[in-house]
Amino acid sequence: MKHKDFICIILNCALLAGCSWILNPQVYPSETSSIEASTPLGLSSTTATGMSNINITATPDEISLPILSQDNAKEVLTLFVKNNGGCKLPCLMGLTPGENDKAVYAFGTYFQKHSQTSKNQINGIDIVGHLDENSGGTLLVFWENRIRVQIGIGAALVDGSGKIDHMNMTGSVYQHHDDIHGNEIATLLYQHPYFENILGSFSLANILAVYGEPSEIWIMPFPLDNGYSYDSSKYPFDFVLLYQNKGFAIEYITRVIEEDGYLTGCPDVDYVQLSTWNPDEDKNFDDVAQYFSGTDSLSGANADFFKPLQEVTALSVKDFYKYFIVPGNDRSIRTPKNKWP
Amino acid sequence: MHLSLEFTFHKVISFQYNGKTITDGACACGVPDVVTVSRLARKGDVRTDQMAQDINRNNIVHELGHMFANNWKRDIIVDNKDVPNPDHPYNMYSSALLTENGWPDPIPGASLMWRQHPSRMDNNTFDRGEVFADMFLGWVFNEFANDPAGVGALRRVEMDRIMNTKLQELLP
Repeated sequence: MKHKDFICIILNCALLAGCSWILNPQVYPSETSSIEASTPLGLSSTTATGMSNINITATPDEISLPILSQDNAKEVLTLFVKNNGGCKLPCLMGLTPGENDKAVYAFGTYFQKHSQTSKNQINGIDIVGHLDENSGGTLLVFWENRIRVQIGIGAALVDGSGKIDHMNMTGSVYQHHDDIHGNEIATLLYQHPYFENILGSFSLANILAVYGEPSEIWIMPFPLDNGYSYDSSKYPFDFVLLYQNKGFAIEYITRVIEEDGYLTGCPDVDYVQLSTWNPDEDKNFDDVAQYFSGTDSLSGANADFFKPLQEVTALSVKDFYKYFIVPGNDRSIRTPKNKWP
Repeated sequence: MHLSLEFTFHKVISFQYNGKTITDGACACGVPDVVTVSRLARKGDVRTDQMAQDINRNNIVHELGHMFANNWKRDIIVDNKDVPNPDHPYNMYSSALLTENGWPDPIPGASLMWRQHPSRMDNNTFDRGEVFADMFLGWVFNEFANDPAGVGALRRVEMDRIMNTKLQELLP
C-alpha cells in the first residue's frame, strides 16, 4: 500500500481525516518553542516581563523555589512550569530520577505550604500540595476565563535508597461552562492556546525538536470494550514516544475516528502524560508502561495492546519525526482496522 | 449507636419529592447489564463470571451514589433565581477532580470496573454527578488510584470529607 494511504499530509486535513473536532484556528505562540539543551538550572536570566527577579534553582540534592504569595502565585508558577523548573528531561520540574530524594520532600512541602484555592475560574490558580506520604503529589490548576489547564506532578521513590525512581506528569486542558441550572460542566479539549502557553514545551513538535527522534513509538487506537460503537463513544487513540536512552516517555492522548476501514487519530494534542527515569537504567516499553496510569491511557494492565508504529502503519519512526516536528500541523495517522483485535 | 442495616439503607437512599418518600430514582438507562450478567468484552479479552458480577455490582453501587446525593436538593433559590446548591454532594469537591486521572487502571475485559461513567460516554464531558457517583463507588470499596500526582489520593480525601459531613446530616 502506498504511503499516502496511511497519512494525510494535507495541512488542513480535517475533512479527510476527521480532525475538525480538535482543530483550533489560533496560531501557536512562538514563546513555547523551546527548552534548549543549554538551558541553565537557574531561571534568573528569564526575560519575561516583570519576572526577571524570580529565581528558581535545582541541584542534585535540593531544590530552591521562589517565594509565593496569593498575588504572584499564578505568574511565578506559570514561568516555573513553562521552563520545566529550569531543567531538561529526564529532570522534571527540577527533580531528577536517580538522584537524592531530599528535593522531593522539599518540593512537596513547598506546595503543601502554598496550597490555595482560587476565588474564581477567571484568572486564578489552585495549588493542591502533597496529599499524604504514600501517594503525595502536586496538582496545579491554572484558570483563564474558565479554561482550566491542569498539571499533576509526582515522584516515585526507591524504598530505602533515598533516590528518586521515576517522575510523572500529567497535563490536560478543559473548558468549563454551566448547564441551564447553573451546574458546572467541564469538557476536555484537545487543543487550546492557553495550554500551549503554559505547557508548550511538552508539545509534540517541541519534544521532537529538542530531544530528536524517539527510539520507539507505540500506538493503541481502539476501544477497551465491545458494545460501544466508535460513533457513540469517544475512545482514546494513544501515541507513546519512548526515548529509551534519554530516560523518558511521553504519551499524547487523542481520540479515535473510524473511517473507511481505518482508525484515525491526530497526535498533536494538548493531552499528555509523561514519565521520566534514570537513563542509566535499561528500561523497555513494558517496564515504562508500569509508570503510567489513567482511564484513557497507557498502563501496566493494557501495555500488551499497544503496537509499534511501523507494524501497523506505513510510517517509520523517522517518518513520524519528520512530519510532526513541524509545529501546529493537523496531520493525522491512520491504521487499518483489521490490524487490531 | 447501633443502626440497623435496613434503617441505614433506607435513610441514605431515600429522598423527599413532592411530599413523598422516594426510594428509587437513580437510572442506569444506558447500561442494560444492571440486572443481567454480561460476558461482553473486547476481542481477545476474557471477562470471567466474577468480573461480570463485579461490574454489575459496581454499577448498582454507582447508582446508589446518585441516590445518596439525591437526599439534597441540587438547586436552591437565591434572589428569585435557581442556583447550584453548594451543600449538594455534587458541588462539594474540587474541580481538579474532573479528569480521567486518579481512578484505578482499567482492567482488560472490564474497562468500566471502577470508572462506570467515563467522560467519553458524554462526548468528553465531565458531569459532576457522574464523577461523584464513581467516587462514591471508590469510597465504598476504598478503590482509588495510587498515582504519583496524587489525584487518587485527593479523591479519597474529598470523599471522606463529603461522606463524613453528609452521613452526619442524615443519620441520628
